[in-house]
Amino acid sequence: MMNSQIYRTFLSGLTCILMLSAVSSCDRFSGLGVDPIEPGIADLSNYLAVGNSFTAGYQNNALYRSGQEYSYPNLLARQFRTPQEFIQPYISDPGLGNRIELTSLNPLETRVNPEQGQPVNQGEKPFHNLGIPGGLLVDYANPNNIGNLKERATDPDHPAFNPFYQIVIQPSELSKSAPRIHNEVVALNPTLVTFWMGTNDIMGFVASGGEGSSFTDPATFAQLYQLSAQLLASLETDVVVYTVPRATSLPFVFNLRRDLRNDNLISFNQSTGVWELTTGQGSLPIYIRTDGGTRKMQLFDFPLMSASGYFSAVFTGEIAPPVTSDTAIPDFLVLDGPVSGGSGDSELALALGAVNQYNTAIRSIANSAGFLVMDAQVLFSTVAGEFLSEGGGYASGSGTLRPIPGELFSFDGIHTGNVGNAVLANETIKLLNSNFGSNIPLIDISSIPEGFPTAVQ
Amino acid sequence: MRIPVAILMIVLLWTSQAAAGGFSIQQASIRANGLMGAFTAFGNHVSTIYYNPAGLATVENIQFSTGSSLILPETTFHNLTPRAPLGQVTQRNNDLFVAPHLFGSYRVEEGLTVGIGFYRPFGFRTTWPGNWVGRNSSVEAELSTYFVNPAIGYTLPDFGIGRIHVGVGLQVAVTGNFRYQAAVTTFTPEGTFNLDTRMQEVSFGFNAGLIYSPVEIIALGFAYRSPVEVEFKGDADFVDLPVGFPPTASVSTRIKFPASWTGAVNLRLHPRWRAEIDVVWWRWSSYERLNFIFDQTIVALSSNLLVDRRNFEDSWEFKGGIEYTGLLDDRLTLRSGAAYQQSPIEDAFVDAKNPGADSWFFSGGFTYKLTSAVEIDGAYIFLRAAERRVTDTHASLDGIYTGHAHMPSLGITLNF
Repeated sequence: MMNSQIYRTFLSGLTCILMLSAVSSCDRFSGLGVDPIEPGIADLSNYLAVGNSFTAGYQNNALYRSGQEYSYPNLLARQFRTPQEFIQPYISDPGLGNRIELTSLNPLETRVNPEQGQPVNQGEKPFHNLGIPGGLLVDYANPNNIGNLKERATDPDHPAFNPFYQIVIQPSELSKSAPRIHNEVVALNPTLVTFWMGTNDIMGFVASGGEGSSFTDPATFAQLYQLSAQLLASLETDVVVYTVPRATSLPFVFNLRRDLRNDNLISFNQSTGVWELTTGQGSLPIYIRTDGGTRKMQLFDFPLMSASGYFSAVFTGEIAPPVTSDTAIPDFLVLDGPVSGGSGDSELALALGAVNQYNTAIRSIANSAGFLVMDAQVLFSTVAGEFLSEGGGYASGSGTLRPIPGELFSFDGIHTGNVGNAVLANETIKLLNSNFGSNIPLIDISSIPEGFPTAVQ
Repeated sequence: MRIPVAILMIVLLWTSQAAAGGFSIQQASIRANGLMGAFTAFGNHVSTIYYNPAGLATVENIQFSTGSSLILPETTFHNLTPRAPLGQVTQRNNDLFVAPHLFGSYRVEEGLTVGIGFYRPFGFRTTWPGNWVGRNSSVEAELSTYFVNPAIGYTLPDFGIGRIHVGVGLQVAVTGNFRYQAAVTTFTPEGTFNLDTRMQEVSFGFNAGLIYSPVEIIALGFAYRSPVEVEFKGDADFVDLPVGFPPTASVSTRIKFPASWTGAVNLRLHPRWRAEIDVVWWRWSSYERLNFIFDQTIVALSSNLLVDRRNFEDSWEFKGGIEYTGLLDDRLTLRSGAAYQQSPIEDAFVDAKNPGADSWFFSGGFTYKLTSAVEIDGAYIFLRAAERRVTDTHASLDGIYTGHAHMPSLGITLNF
């Protein structure tokens, strides 16, 4: 009697254990875990990004999937926990463009990979990332096709043909006589739009040392921006617009001169106000070619990152050193700046002046329309200023990130890399949180992989 | 093109978090499993060689026991990194881990028994989907060791203060391996770090214990296991990492398996009932770092050394079990137990190789006597790990881990 009672008690205890485990094994803990986002007065449910190469996740001079995964819009969408997948037009390795790839770590060497990747998920259109590398402000509204978007997108023989339009935009839109990006946005019915157009309206001019292309006239820019803002406002969604970074905040412009000086290959002569090349015959003034003629390189003249091969050849003796007016550095490798007593506008003054007018228009139009302004000009300039004056950069939780290739920027010197994109996303999140009362978590920047492209043999 | 040297600094931030969490396996006996490991003062079974060699002194004639535990863990990871959507859930693969054991003993004379054991005291196996968000931390990790443990138990002469058994054993780590695979996401395309090492030489340690019964119904147990340091050697393959790495390198590392102290109280409140409570102190703090020494300088590391800080902390474990004998004409014995184990891993050092958390264990078990010589032992343990949220992790894998495990076991005991 005693025994059987104990036996039963024991068995029921054992059954409890077995049941507990059975119940627990069924429970996948799906209800546990991540806290929900408090969106405040924002609606994060359907986010859409409009922009150009920065928005697309273009980096290291190419658009490729592992870089696109870390585009700032994709990073934002991950932090928003948007219920639907944020779909981007992915390109296979090594991407579209000519990707800059590491061939050696010590010594550090790169190559340009001429091979091209392929679009891999065109069937998933429409895309939520409408970043189009090379896209211009006019593309958004494109009234009466004044920007020739139709031809640049669909005619491979057009001198300004850009294959990215067909990759990003739906064919039905491009078949229209005056296609525009705005129609793609309307079709997706977004609740939040980030809008970063305008960088390419000046970047072609800067990257070519003022030679390859002109820039958009600031008055035209303001009109086009006003038109775009009206269209965006008609969506009745939350909109964040981004200003345009200044040329001098990009390592493509400032970094080669800095590196050469740090390596004592060039120096600045304070008394003459002229940059000098270190040679076997001592320090000799450097000559540059400008639209206004050949002259000595002065304080505000910037040999571009594209001139690094030129300087390598100078130091190996393959090219005569630019210490005479006959051997001056070619114009397209230098963004020349204003000189005291000089005549005409320098390339740098033109570029900075245009960007200042662009950004004045952006801020004023955005304020009138009730858009938030993510001031990329201020962000980039502040970080570059910290770096050039103090050797600092962007202070993140894990340390200071410098605005140079391999840290905030990719190896092309213009586009942010994975880490820089996380900074752009975080600054956008701060803006949203402070204006919308949301609690979108910031990105732990130290957990972003750098994703340096390597040359696979 | 000139590239800032800063890139090297960034590459260095990549660390291979190489070994594991609290990775002791205490399922060295089906009978102890039923009692949830509260076995240090029990005696009367040859598997006491693992728990307390002093218990050998109570094992009569010739006894032989073998069996195996199956460990079936389930772990879920909720992503908090920016590398995937916030909250994305990943299930660990089904990682069956088998812990076999084999014990034999021979009573030389009254109060003196010798024995030998073979078991798998430390190890784990963890695999995750190859493309998962934590692939930089781990895709596949496995650590395994087998120990042989000859031991002797002896009952001291009667001093008039009760009965005292003492025991001592030699721990011999005879074979083992350590494998680890993770993605290197610093580069595009991603590469793979593949470590495959084996134990090269046997290593030694010892275990010793005491069981003291001041009166018939009470037994106090004490057991100590010394640390055992094992060297693993093998190959490190750097797959699809054309820049900064050789295709392959020889590598060696040492892992120190920790010491432990156990105190136990065993009560025989009734001829058919026995109960025991054990407290274990694990000296995991000896597991501070793992140094991988390569046979050449790895350019991406600017060194031939890769240091993986583990920073384990000493941890406590509390175990209790109860046994009832004499059912079905004295053929059936039933057992049950519970345990609570502190994780030795600090939050910042939790990673995907062997995600640890404070855990509860519940067990049930039986022995069924087929004949006087043949007994079947069975047990089942359920483990439930506390939900663990980790941020600012060294493995760059912030997230929330939840987990549980099923551990059925079956064995046989032969008495001659």
